[in-house]
Amino acid sequence: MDEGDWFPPGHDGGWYPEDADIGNLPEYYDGEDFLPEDYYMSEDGDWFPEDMDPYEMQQYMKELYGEDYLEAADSAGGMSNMDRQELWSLCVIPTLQQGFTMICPLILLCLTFRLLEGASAWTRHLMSTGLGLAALYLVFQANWYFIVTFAITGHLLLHLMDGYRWRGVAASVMALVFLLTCELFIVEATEWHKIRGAQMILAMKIISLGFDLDSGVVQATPSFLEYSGYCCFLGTSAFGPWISYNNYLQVLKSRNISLQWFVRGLKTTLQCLTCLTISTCVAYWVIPHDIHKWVTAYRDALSFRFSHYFISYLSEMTCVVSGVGVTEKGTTREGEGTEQGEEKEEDVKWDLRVARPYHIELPRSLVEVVTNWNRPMHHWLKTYVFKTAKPLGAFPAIILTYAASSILHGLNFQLAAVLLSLGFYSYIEHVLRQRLADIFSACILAKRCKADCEHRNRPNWAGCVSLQLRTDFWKQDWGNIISIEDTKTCICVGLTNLCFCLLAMFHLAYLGVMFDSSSDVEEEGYTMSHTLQKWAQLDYASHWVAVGSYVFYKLI
Amino acid sequence: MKLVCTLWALLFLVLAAAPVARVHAVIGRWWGIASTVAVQEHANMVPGVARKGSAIMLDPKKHPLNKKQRRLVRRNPGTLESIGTGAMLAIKECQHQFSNRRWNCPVNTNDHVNSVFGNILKRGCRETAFIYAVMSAAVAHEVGRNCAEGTIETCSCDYRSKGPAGEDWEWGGCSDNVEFGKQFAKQFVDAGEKTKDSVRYLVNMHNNEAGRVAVAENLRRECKCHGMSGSCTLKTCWMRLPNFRDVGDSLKEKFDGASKVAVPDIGNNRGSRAKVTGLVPKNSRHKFPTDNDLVYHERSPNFCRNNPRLGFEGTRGRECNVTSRGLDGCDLLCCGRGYATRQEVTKERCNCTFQWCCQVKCEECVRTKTIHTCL
Repeated sequence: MDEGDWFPPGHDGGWYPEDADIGNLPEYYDGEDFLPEDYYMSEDGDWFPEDMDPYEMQQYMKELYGEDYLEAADSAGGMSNMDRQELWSLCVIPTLQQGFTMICPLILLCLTFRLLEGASAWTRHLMSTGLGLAALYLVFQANWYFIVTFAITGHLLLHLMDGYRWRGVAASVMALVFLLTCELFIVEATEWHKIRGAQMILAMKIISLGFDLDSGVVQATPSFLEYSGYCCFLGTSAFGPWISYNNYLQVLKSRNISLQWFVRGLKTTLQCLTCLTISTCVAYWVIPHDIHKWVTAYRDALSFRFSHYFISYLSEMTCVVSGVGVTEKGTTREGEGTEQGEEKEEDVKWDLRVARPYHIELPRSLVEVVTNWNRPMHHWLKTYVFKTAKPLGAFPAIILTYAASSILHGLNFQLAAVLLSLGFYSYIEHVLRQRLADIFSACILAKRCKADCEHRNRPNWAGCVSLQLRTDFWKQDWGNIISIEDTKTCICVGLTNLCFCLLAMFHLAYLGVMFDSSSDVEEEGYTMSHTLQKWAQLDYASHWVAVGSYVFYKLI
Repeated sequence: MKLVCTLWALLFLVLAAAPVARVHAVIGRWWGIASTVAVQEHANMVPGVARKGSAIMLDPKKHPLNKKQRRLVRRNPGTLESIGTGAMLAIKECQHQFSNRRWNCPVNTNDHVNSVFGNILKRGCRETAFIYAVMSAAVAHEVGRNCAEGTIETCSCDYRSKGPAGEDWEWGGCSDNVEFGKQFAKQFVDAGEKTKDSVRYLVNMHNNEAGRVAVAENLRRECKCHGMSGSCTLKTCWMRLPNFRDVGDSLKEKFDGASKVAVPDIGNNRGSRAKVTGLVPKNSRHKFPTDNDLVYHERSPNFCRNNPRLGFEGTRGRECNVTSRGLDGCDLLCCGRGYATRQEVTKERCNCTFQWCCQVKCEECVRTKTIHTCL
């Protein structure tokens, strides 16, 4: 046998599926004494990567590279390889453009509403309802009637119970039943995942109205038009934030278009788009995905947080542009001072804040994060859940508050797990820091020290900073300016708080890691296995740390 | 930057020589641009090496672009670099994909008169199909990428949102870059084909298109949800160009499943359908090849021994894997001629550890490797 004729002429030795066709085989046999095995792989032969189907290939890659292979293939990693131009034109521009197409119609609706001020109360409520429904349709398309149905049910309930005492509790039960029924039996998971934010805001509005009616903060049950104006108010219907009924009544006032209002509106719009860009593109570009699993976790959580800021600023913007979110001088922000007389322009402050990113990205404590995550919602929880549940005791009240919060978010294991973990963490942090602050009598509480606190070790920050800034820092006999004790206090307290800050950031990375955008679960809601899988990858480290600090607290 | 300048100078020379140029009907001549780039890179790195590329470009009989291609390049400044890097990319990809096969995509970067891939292009086998597809894909890919980077100015992004009507997400932006890349590649690559009547012409056109489709198919859509506490009220999406490796992998898959085709007999009832595609499968029981399938019309040679007519040196001296029973295994790769074994001592980085932060430290290990080469 000539060695060159190992294969019949015209065959390149590859295995091609259609060559195996019966029709082709005789060509190979003609005049040759070869068996088919010589050309094709024998049945029991080893497999070859190129013959595998994609699933087998994955398994094979897994065997070769370990489980990490899928992780690497899944993640949005690799974006860090893009250069700035590519990032700009492929990610930033399309993202901003999509953001704009969503925001612009909303802004236009809000501006229309704002500019048509001064009409009668009746017209204002009608306009609020109409434009609000338009905004809902714009954002949710076909799903808006779930929201409308919910609002109408709420109205019926409040009117039927006119004059009774337990309207707040009844509204809560109704909201709970409605939300659960929708989620479990009626609405598809993907669709529900789109509208649940708006449903939550609406539930909060109805419940708060019920409690306010009970307590007499709102005196008369609102008429249908007033009620629908409140529920569908376009500044809050789609993206929140929650505002109280009395705050909503601000729309009846006519305010001049001031520079302050304009600047505030523009600023929130810019902040909103910046956060969108950071969340979608920049975070993934700046932080490469293959350094360490904790870095990746931090990045995913960062992206999630900025996505939240985006929505928060968006809601702030819609609210401010349509003319709500004002504090008048002499009243507190959440106060009910709307029946005050005319005020001058400078007495008005457009200071609605939904999220405060600085206090979340570099938190003093988890308590601060929770407070500043969504301030209106925090206020709502404090007023209507925590204060109602307070007679049961502090700890049950806290847990009940977090439970209420997670029920409002829907039956979602992931959110419930995050919120309950957060509840326990912040409780542990609170008691631990309280204990430490008592022992050292230092300002290391979860909350900032008030000016008149009784701690001995209260850092004199002004003194410490001015000392640092002096050019003759080393030459001077600086004992005269500030005592050594003060400097020590500054350093010790500062370092302790920095450690707690880092600890909080660590917890946040852990808690936010599974809100990733890597998979399809993002669209239909995250599942329990997804959550546990993500946490298992991080070895449940944060939970262990929390348990550790609780044990430490018990020991001291 | 230096490379870009040189290329510009070369382009100028090409264009200056254009009126007297006589176009040779050599297949795939434009691929020679890859070798020009290689030569330039080489010349830039090693001082004192003569710029061979310029000489080639100066000779109008030898420059790689034909009239229509030159016009295209002139109208779209910046595309010449894309074509050059694209051709390099395609060659590298081809060699990667075929590193385990007998035919391992050999190229001859010194031969500027004929195509870099040699005479295999004169046949119409599977390997030829792959070459055509991967080259066309690389041009579409690189032009699209450079559009996104902004180095090609004639493709401005169209930011009007485009999406299937009725769907709740929309994306727009520079996904059109890919479309531009595809269109440009279509014009440019297809202009390289001369004899329009043969089956080979139809097959080549088909494979060019398959390559471009593979780029578009491998586009990745990346989405992110935004909404209150992790809900999905708003969704933003953007399209990402694939890694060229993904395109290569997908083309290799198509290579394995390529269909053998022929021009239809007139009067045959299958011929009527062929008017759409121009080609019918050789085996009447097979389905018609779609736009994204690779097609061929001749059997592949066995690539075992040196074949001067083909310009292929055979598998003598190739490294093979003694444990594999696959195509890279010594049995198949050496066509049964047997193999020689020798030991080689290599130094490798090993026991790498990650050190905070952010370095990877490795030790150097000395390993004895057993190497088998075909006789």
